[in-house]
Amino acid sequence: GSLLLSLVRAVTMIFDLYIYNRRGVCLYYKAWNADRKHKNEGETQRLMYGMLFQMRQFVRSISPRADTKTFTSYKTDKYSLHFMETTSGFMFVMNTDPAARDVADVMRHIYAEIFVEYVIRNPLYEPQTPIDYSLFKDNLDDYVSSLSIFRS
Amino acid sequence: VNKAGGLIYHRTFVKDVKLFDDNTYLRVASTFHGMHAIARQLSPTKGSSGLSSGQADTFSMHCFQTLTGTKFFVVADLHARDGESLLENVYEVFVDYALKNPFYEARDADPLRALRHQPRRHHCRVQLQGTLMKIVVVAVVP
Repeated sequence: GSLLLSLVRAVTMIFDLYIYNRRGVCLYYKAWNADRKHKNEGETQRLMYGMLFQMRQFVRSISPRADTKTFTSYKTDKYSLHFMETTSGFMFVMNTDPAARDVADVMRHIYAEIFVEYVIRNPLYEPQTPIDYSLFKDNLDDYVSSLSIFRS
Repeated sequence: VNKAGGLIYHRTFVKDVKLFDDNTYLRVASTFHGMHAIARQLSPTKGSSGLSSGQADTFSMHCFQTLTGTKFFVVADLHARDGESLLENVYEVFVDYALKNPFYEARDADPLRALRHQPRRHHCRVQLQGTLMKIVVVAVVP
């Protein structure tokens, strides 16, 4: 009955999120479940951007097809990194457990309903600067929490 | 790819894909070697391995690393699921024909030269779902 149902539900573990502008500046970083402490956050963010840039180029250069534009994700045995670049040049990176699915939809939601809503449409926001609005942060936290508990 | 980014072998299985020159393959191998390691450094959680697979909008790629650091890398279409087990089979073939071959010199610039005179009977027992497009084998020089 309901016990079986609760066994079938999957837990999505979301580790953290990076948001970059088109110049590679990290506008926002939030960790919800990351248990690995990086000694220098700024350095990690720069390394991450370098990796994204290199991965994008790599994928274009080895592609057997001419219409390859971007990479979408990669995996290791412990995490999966998902990448999304918007038409306006913002880059979203989300690290999850390796089995997580539909993360592209999650990132699209974060971009369209939270980032655009509470940052881009905020008349006080100065473009290309780090984000520090509680409306944005709270809405993001609420949304991510709703995904990280059991979902059917 | 070895520590210096040495490419050992590559072979393209599907005819109508764009082919590269040898230098490109060398660059690709060493770039991948770097990214494989950085993926471990960027891990949000403890004890991650290096890159095991990647997805682009039009294809997927898979990597299998042996205990000695040899990496086997394959490019396949989007729907390929068992890239890792295919690569394990390739590794078995490699071990049988290359590493156990008394003429195989791991330190050579062209390590698979000895293989060219061997009869080639590589059978991949695993069916890779989707199309296998390109396979790049990179091996460690001890």
